[in-house]
Amino acid sequence: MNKGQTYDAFRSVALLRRWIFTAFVLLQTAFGVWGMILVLPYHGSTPIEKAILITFVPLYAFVAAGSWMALFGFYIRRRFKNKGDARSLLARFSAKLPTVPLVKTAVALPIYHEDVERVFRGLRASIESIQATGHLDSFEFFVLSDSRDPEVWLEERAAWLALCNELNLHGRLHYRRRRVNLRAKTGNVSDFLRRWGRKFKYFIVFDADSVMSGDAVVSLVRLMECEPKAGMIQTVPRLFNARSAFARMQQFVTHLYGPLFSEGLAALQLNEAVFWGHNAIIRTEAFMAHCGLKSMRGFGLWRGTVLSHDFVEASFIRRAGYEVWLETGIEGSFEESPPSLDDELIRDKRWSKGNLQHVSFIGFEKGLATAHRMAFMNGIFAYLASPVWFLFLLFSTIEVAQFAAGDINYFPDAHSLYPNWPQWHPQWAIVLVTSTLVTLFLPKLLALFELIAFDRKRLQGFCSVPRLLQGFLLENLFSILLAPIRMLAHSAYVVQAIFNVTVRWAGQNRSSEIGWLQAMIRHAPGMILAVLWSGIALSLNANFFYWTIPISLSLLLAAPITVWLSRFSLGDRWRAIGIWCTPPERALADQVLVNFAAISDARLKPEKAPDWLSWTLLNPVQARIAAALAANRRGAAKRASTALCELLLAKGISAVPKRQAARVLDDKDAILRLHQHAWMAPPDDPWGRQVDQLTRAICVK
Amino acid sequence: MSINSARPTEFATHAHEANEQTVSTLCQYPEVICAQLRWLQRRVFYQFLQTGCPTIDLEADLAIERNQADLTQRLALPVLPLTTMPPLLRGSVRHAKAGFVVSSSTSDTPAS
Repeated sequence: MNKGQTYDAFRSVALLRRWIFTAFVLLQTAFGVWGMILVLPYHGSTPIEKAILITFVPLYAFVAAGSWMALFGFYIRRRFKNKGDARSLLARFSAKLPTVPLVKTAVALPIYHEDVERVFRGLRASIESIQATGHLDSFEFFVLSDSRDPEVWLEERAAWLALCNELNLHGRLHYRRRRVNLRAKTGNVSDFLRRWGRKFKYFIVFDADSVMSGDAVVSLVRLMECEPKAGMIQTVPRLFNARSAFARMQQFVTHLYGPLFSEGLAALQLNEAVFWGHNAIIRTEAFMAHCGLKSMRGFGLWRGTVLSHDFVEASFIRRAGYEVWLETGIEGSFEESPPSLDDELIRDKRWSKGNLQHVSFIGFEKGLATAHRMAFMNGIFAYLASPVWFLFLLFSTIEVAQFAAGDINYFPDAHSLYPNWPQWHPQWAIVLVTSTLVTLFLPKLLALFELIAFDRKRLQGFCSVPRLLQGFLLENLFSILLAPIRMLAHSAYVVQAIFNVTVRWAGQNRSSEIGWLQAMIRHAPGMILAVLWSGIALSLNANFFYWTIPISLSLLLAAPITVWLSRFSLGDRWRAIGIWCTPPERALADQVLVNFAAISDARLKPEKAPDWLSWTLLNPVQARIAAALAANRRGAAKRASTALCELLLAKGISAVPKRQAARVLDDKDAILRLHQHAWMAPPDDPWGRQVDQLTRAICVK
Repeated sequence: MSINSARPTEFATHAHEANEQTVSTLCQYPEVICAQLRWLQRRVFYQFLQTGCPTIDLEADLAIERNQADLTQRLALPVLPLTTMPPLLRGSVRHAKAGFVVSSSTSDTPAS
């Protein structure tokens, strides 16, 4: 399918909406810049003031764009009475949706060193929810592991088998581990598609922390069937299962403000939306034919694997003529938040580099939709805004320092015969700051107003109006405190990305608190910077010092804030009194979350059992499973595994590094030989000792 | 809880609750008896891991050969077939264009 061959029914309305949006943003930015020119003593005529203005323009435009997006979302939600945009897929096809037959669809869950118990709990809740719809036969589930540590992948495999047994999913729930995890997640998914994709018309991508209701999954397949032009449909995942105060705050944010922003975004993007990497359905054939990502051939960070692949894939499938929709009306799509600010920042490090890589797609990739080039720019500036803000603060400090030093130049323009008197207009500074604050906070206030005034059903999920207001005020206080900390971290990430500092690909921490030492080390540079900056500001001008307090105070308190917000006890305490209460916590979001919470934490191996590798070789059930899943080795591979087996037989499992020892699990004969040897070995043999230790650890008490 | 009714995980949980100080790995009987007890323990524990339900025949003799023979039999149990993934369908882009194997009520190609 080619873009040029198709008629785009949404083009005119999309253009109209985008032009109106752009006009509002530009108009507001123009007013903002005019205000800034009035505030600056030389009205932007000196080099440092020019630099201030250059940094101010994109910052103000970015804030204005976010604000107008939410206002647009508010308008759409009120205009269509919370039923979603009339042009959305759900609005167009909802009448015939229940009668649309389903087709074979794969649910792909790529994982890499994740919390195994959590991953399979989420998957189980989703599968049970699909089962409850009566359409389980249309789906197959694939856990696609890239884990390298045998302690992780052996547990994954045991969890997979346990789930297969418990829900009788043999032949329907699959597990695949790549031995060579080339090109990270992109490579993982494309490897799956190359080998098994042809069997499925669609595939739904889950993240390690995704949970989707059966109704949501079934609706996605039916919408794809209704709209053959759709290449991807992205749902809006809401956060759930938060425990730490930080994660609960993020959860509150997505549930309170999320609907407004996502509605506005969807209304502007229409059929040229973006893919967020998970909780979305994809037309397999179109994806395989058009979304293959080559390694980048540029220099520095623009070389190698595309890290933020999802945006690029959406733009490629759109280039091929397929539509990409962000469907806000589909409920029952969930994911989790990082438990702490530091974990969020670790994730942002990867995303910032990935988004900066998109520079090459904006400029050099032919045929992409303008909307997708804009989406790339938005993604880039989401991180680039931080160093720009940093520079803005730096230039402002220099400006104040110049005046404090008495370095007043009455002829900043060398070609002018008339003096340029510096003028101070504090009233304009107050107006400008007020307008910026309104721009920042109006969308949040509108979201709050909309919830209280028009959405009584959703309001129940936020406990009570007083608690909602309390949570709203606290969230805004913390968002002000966290903004400078994020700014500084993102600035460092952008600089590191530009210098192509390697980003480690690792599983995310989704469940731990942050310790004091870790927080102090991470935030020490920011704290030192804050002390220096405050000192300089105070020495220059007391008034300027007061202006800097919100930023320097945040940076000074970064470590305590991070530690405090990462505490589960604080999250639990505030949850008990209803602060940052959200629909999932009141079991009002979706039945799938109620089921998720009810799934018990079944142990896959006894707590006192040894590590997974030893347990797999010694446990009769696990050893036979490992043997059943191992390959029948031949040739050089067989000789290598036999040699490894001989070494392990003679010296025991601890004589060889674990990842190397785990290679013995690739050979069925070697597994059985080791297993039989261990149980028949005399007590003074290394394996005999290990069996006796296992016996004592588990039984003899 | 009797050992006969304990599942491995239950057994482990129960085991932890016991006092660590009471653990004794030393055999206080004559070496001949200890050797026999060790093999009995190993056979019973293997059976427990394998089935979750070990049996100790109190009338049986404690001959090492007897327990070793029982263990050998258990170790020789066949490996049942198990697959993690469905049969491979090589589906490169070229293959994908050649035709998908899915059936559908609507056209696979977007309307032009």
